[in-house]
Amino acid sequence: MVADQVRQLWDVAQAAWPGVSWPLEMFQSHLGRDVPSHVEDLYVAGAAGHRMSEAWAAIDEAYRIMVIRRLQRSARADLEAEDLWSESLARMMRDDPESGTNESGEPLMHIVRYRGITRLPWHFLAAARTIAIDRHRRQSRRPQEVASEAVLELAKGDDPAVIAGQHELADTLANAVVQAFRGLKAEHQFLLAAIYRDGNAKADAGRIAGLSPWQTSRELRKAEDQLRLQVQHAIPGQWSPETKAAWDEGWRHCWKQLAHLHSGDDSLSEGAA
Amino acid sequence: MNTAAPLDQLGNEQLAEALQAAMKEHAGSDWSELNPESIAALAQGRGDELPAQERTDLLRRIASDPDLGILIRELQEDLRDSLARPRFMSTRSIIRTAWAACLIGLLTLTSIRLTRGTDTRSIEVLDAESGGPEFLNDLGNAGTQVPSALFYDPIFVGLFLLVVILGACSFWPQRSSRT
Repeated sequence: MVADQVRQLWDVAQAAWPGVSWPLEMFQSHLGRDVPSHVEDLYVAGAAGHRMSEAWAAIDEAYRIMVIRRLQRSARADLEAEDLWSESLARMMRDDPESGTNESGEPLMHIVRYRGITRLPWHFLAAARTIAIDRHRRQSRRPQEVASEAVLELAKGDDPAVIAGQHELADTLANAVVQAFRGLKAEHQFLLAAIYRDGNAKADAGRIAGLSPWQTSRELRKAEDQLRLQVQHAIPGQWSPETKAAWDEGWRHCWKQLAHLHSGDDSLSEGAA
Repeated sequence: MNTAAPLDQLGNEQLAEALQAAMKEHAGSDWSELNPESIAALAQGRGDELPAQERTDLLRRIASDPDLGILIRELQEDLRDSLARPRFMSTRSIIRTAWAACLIGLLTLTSIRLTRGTDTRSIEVLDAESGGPEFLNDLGNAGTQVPSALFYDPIFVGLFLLVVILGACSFWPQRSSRT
């Protein structure tokens, strides 16, 4: 990058953060080759990462209220928005020896990894949300057993041999579906999960995956078809028209269960396929 | 004799559960190495700015961990007012406004031309002829001649072309891009 351009960016960043004076040379080495979308935030985060207390004070003053207000919008974090902000700050202040040291030989802080792709307050907001949900899930959830879930609802009271056969078949099906899902493109996996599992509207899911609304519908259909074909390939000779119909019904059932879990959530109706 | 394929003996619930199980295979995985900036960028619809491999890994991870799905969804709600809008949308709204203006102009012009054409023809008929039936016939002819004359009017043709072009531009599906 041309020195004049770097100086220009540095001037702009300094004007945005008058209380933070970080040397041009350090800013230049932190900036790298490409100019990110949020240079001013990169400047203050870089300075904070190099342990400048003025930078931390400036970040707290500029972004604390902004982040806390957004955290308070959600009932989950309503009572602990202040705590979450503090915890996200603490997380960003952790030593990050992998990123190097400052002039005094002290390890840089974790915030130095911020790249200026999104605004700095959203970086903190995402950190705070991650902390909140991670804490919640550690208290209430455990890793899921995959194959066993599919056999819980099998018919009872039949011949033990038939039941055993159905258990085996259900396990085979569950494994085939998991393997087929693993084999899908990342975008396809994401679309299926975001729409059928999380209940996102198609447009929202597509935006995250970088797709326009019409591309989202097309890719979703492709994902469903590929998953079905791979399962069909994994369990050959057992795919009758009835099974194919059951497959389609299975997706609808996924959706019904989701709608039942989130009843009252208006966004579900938008995402229904 | 039961000829149904073995898979048919399973209910839809088993299939649905298998599908759902596939989508939560890595529930409860460790989040300590997650980069908040990448998560925020993805939630804002700006995943295309992330390195391709990082973006792919993150999408796969979200797809197999329902709690990450919740995280993304909550962040989307938090950032609803700062979500990346397709860049074309701002341009498109301008184009749509221009299209609406041209359409209104076209309709107004058509209306004026038709009215004037009809009025002129009516006066001519009244001056030239005095019989009632002939007046009515000519009036009817005027209605059919004026529209074809409109296509020789450069203003009308220009507006018509603009309406078609701007309409195509404003309603043609576009791939989203970041702001």
